[in-house]
Amino acid sequence: MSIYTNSPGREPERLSLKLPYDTQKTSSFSGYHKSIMQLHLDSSIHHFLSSQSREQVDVMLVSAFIALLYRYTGQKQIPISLLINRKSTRVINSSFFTNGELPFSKMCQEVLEVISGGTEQRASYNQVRVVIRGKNSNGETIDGGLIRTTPVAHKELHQPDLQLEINDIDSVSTYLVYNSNLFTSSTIERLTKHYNNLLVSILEAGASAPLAELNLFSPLENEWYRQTCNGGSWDPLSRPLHLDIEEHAVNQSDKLAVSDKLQSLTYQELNHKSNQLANFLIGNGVGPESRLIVCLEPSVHIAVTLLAILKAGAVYVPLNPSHPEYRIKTIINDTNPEMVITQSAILKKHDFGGNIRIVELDANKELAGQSNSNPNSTIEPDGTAYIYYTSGTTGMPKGSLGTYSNLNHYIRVSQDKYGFSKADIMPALASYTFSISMFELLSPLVAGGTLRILDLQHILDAKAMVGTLSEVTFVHAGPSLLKQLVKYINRNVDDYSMFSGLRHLSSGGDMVPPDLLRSLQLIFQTTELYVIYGCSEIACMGCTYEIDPVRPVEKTYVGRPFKNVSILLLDKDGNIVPIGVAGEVCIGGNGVASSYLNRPDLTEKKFFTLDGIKYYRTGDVGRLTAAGELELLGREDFQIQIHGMRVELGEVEYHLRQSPGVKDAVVVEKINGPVSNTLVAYYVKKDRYQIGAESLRQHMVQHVPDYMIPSFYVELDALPLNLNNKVDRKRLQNEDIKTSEPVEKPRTESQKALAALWSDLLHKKEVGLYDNFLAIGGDSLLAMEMISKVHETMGVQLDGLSILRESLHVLAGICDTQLGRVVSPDVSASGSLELNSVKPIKSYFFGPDSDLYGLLHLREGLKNDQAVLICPPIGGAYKRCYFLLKILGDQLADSGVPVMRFDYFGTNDSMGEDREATIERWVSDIEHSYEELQRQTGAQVKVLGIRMGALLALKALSKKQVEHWVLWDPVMDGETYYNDLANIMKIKVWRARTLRGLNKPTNNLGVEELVGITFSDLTLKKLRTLNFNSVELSEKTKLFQLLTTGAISNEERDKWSGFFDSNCNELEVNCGWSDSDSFSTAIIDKRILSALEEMLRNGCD
Amino acid sequence: MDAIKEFCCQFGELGRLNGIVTIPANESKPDVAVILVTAGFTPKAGPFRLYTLVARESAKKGLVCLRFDLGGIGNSEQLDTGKPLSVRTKLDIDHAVKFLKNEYGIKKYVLGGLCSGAEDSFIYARHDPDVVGVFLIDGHAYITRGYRLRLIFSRKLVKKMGRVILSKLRLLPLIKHSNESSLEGDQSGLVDYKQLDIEDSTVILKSLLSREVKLLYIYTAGMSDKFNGAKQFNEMFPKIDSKNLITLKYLPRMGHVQIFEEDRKEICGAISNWLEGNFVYSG
Repeated sequence: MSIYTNSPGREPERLSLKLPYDTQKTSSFSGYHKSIMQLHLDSSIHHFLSSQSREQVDVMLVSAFIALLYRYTGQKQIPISLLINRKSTRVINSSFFTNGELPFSKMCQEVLEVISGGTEQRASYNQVRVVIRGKNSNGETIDGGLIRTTPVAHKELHQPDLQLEINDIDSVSTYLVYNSNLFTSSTIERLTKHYNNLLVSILEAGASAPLAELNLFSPLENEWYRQTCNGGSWDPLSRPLHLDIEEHAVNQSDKLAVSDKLQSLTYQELNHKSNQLANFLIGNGVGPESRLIVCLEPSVHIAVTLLAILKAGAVYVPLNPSHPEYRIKTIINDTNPEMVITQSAILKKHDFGGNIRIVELDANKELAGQSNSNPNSTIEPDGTAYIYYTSGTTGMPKGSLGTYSNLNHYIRVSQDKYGFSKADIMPALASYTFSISMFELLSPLVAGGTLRILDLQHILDAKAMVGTLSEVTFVHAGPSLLKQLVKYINRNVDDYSMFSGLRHLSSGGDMVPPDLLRSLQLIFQTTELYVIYGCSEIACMGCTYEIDPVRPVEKTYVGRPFKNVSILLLDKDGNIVPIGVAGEVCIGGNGVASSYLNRPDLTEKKFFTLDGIKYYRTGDVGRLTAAGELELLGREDFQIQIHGMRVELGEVEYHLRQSPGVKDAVVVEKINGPVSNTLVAYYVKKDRYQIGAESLRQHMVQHVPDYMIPSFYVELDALPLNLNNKVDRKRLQNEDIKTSEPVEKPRTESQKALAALWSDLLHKKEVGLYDNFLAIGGDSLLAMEMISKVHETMGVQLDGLSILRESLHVLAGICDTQLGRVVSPDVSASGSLELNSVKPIKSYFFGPDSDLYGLLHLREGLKNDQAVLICPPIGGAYKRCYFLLKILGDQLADSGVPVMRFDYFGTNDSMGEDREATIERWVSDIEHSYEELQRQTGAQVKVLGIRMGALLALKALSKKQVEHWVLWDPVMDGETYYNDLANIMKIKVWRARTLRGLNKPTNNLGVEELVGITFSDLTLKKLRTLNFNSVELSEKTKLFQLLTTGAISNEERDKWSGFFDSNCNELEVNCGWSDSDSFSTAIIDKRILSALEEMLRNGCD
Repeated sequence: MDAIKEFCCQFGELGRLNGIVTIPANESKPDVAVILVTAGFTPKAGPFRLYTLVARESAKKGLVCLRFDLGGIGNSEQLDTGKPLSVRTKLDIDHAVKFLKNEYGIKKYVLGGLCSGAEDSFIYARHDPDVVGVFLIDGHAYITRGYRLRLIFSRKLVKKMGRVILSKLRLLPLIKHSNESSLEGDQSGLVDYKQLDIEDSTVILKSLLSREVKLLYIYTAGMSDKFNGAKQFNEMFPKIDSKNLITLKYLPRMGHVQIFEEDRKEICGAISNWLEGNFVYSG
């Protein structure tokens, strides 16, 4: 555990000024090159000053300089050194307190007090100094721009970055002395002009004018801003986008419009399918402002559905099926949709609520009967076209509403800028729940080109993606993805001419690092390279920056606004900031969303209108270059970008604080080499609670999408505070991560090799044997690099999903297998047989006829008064969890809890044939197993029942003295269970026909066979009538339930509703119990394992 | 079930390997035993209980049969993981052989299994002269010129026509995502299996044939990405004289694992008949 104390003895943090440096000042920066520029003050100022006393002049000029520094930095404390060279020399260090509302006269008063009463100090601030020289001063004097150096009285002073000199040898003259290694002369020249303008403004407005109201800019400069910050006006085609696609369906009907891994559609097919869906929607009352949730796996269906919704004039609300149930429900509650458009497989995983109409694209029989003619609908430009959800600070994702007019601007302005054509082929790489996906989905289709929809597996496979880059013409990708691709290309591709067909490559969604752009310049020499800057609230197309093919890129420029887009860079007082000065980027124009859904407070805060243009405050901090390019510097709030996805740290913290046992928590972003973004959670637990990283992670998994889940969890006694008594996030950001989780070390060569690669990639000192790549800081993009490195160093091709899903232990097993089942010779420290670690499981036949195969996990000398009987599922479900149950048995036994597992009669290794099995027999098998375990251990028996095993166990043992039950995804009624299996079997039978020349398998297939088990008719009938109704439990009984919700049908979930509410632990894990396409997948999920172990020991929290 | 008896057994260091012996109930004392080697991560009962069925059918034919979990699979413990997996696998099968020799006086062995179990059996057989037979379900296969030609005809023409018919019958969506190997879904499972290189398998095959080891090769549609015709075996090993020791069963109507009872029966029947025909009376 790390301990932070907020001791008063801590050295106060040195304040630093955010000056408009042209060269980034770093801690190692030491070069100093002195330059001087004279300030040419307006005659009116000279005139005014000549009538003032010497002291008044000094106070006014110093105060105005501090006001200028405030306007440049926005900081409320301006630390400067004052060197006053009059009869004697004094050095005063002071921090002047400012704010926008402070009248200039108050500023003068503060300065006067400091100059009059300030005590002499050693200088400690070296950024800004003001030097005041009287007639008899003995310092440097300046003559005609040349420096005449005289001995400096205070040689110990560091040279400041910026120094204002006020001389009154003959008349008042002012100079700026600056380090030209840090500032260019044009920056200093602007500063001098702004200083002059500010003084003039003071004279005009009077000394009572607040600092925020003083004017810095000349009319010429105002005009420059007006022209530079506006992308120019343009009158785009205003007709709805879908009409363009309908036109293509006529003019180029057979041209390929969209494809995915499995299928492709021509323009005519796309139009027909989307028309059928649109007509269906319209026929069911869908129209303007009807919100339709779209929850689909990436495929051509996305394009069909999006187009259909646009044709119906309704509202497209994309939802990611991989997101946790909590988030999906939150968004549905917020949206209040009229329909959910989805697929049957997704419907099994998610409950969209009983009152919403569900349209299953792959199962809806009405769709095929709909007209495929273009529907007649009226599209209102101000009607809502889409809602995209992004992270929100209050724990609630926020949905921004884009209108049809916004959408039209979005697509047409990008078409205009990048010149899409019918020859273009564009892949869709972004998740379709992000607003940039609209660019990918619609741009090629509106232009008559081809859209290629890629699945995650393909996108994660660098080799496959490089192949894609050589086949398409137009690509937009986030910088993180590009970074991985560049690494792969640098290592594996010698001839870049394979990318000659790629005419456009753009990146955005996150800061695009200059080094990445330089790499892209080298690789894609014949491709136009752009950075695109924007976000959902402005329809993504804010600014764009064209990368010069030759000139090196030095900064994170995002360029100039698109047509019909304006930008403003504002300080905290709402003033436009000068060139080179950081301000909040506000974007206005035709793309700006109408509002946030159900969030009038936030809408008011984030949107404003100026000169008839609606603007959105992005929260991004940027500055304008003298050439008019916008450079992004970061964020001004706690929003961060994780690989292009906006994450409000507040939302992550909110959910963390909701976790049981957590008293307080903060989440910080760690920037750690190539692992550019890692979220680290620091938490303080409540008294008497024991919580660990795994339980916190589980909580987060259930509430936020994977990219918002912190990778590390660090327990603190107290959160560290800074001088302002706020949580010291910077300090946490700079801390090394020290978690208290024990780590089991890798042992074999493959394990060690993988651990070394992970450690290198994730910048972790230690990687444990059972660590999951995702859980310890990896992500899908780093997985790409991981695949590449494993291939390079070990010669093994892993797939991305395995890397994300499996532990290091399992991946090492895959590597061993791929390596021809050869691992390197003994590398373990012990070398010899590790006999002590072998704890065999006792296997034997038991039961009245010794026909049940049983396994007893029992450690001699550790006998406990508690034992666990595991009642397994039947069929494929048993196979899936077999490995996990074995590990669970071992782990419990190791801690002194004996465990008994067994096979039902007629299944697996028990005697009998499956046809001979009956429900009664299985119930009696459980009774015998229970008695056997009691006989073997004499312990109080707890029962773990899984799927059908749970139902059978309750039937068998509800009247026994079992007080502690854990049910993992219990089957609630036999009929639903039967139907699920029967449906799979039907699919299997149909598929089998392809191998059998359209003949069915012969033996009454589909009647009594259920996925690998042949039941008797009687058993099947009995199975279908099973349910919980007749189960009676005593009051003493503690019933706990683990739901791994991803794999259970809605129908089945409905049956659970209300049954186990009080003691339910819900994990968003897809066990795929009845997944017809992955029978051989074994469940090895640490979360399930630890949840079951915890529930068997202690129940639920 | 009266024709057979089953016993649990544990052998190897500290009894770490878990298995079940199936013997004929008639007290006969066969001197040939069948050892079933686990496939991938599937425990000793085999996919959809195939190994259990094979074991019981073998015993009915008069043979002793041991099905057991290799170390780290099912209920067997892994030992000495620093050693190469191939070494560990050989050690585990060695233990099984010794156990049968000591407990049942077995002198000769037939090894077999599915997929990686087939390959492990094949590799082990090379080292142990007491192995007289090996059966391989979906073991090694290599693409040949003939394979490509058959593929063109079967896939491009026949299948296309089939799809046209199916689409007319509106059945296409049900099979659209399937191919032969996906009949039982994702077969890659937890561990992707890498088969022997053709050079290695050729050397081993020659060695086994020189010892007159009998081999049963069974190929299902699960191997259709590498094997698509009964003639292909000769195409893969053109210079090898099988001396009538090799039996080939090409079962293109069934998948890699057998979800249907009739498929399980067919494959089990093929193995037990082969065992009966070659080893029951061979002594």
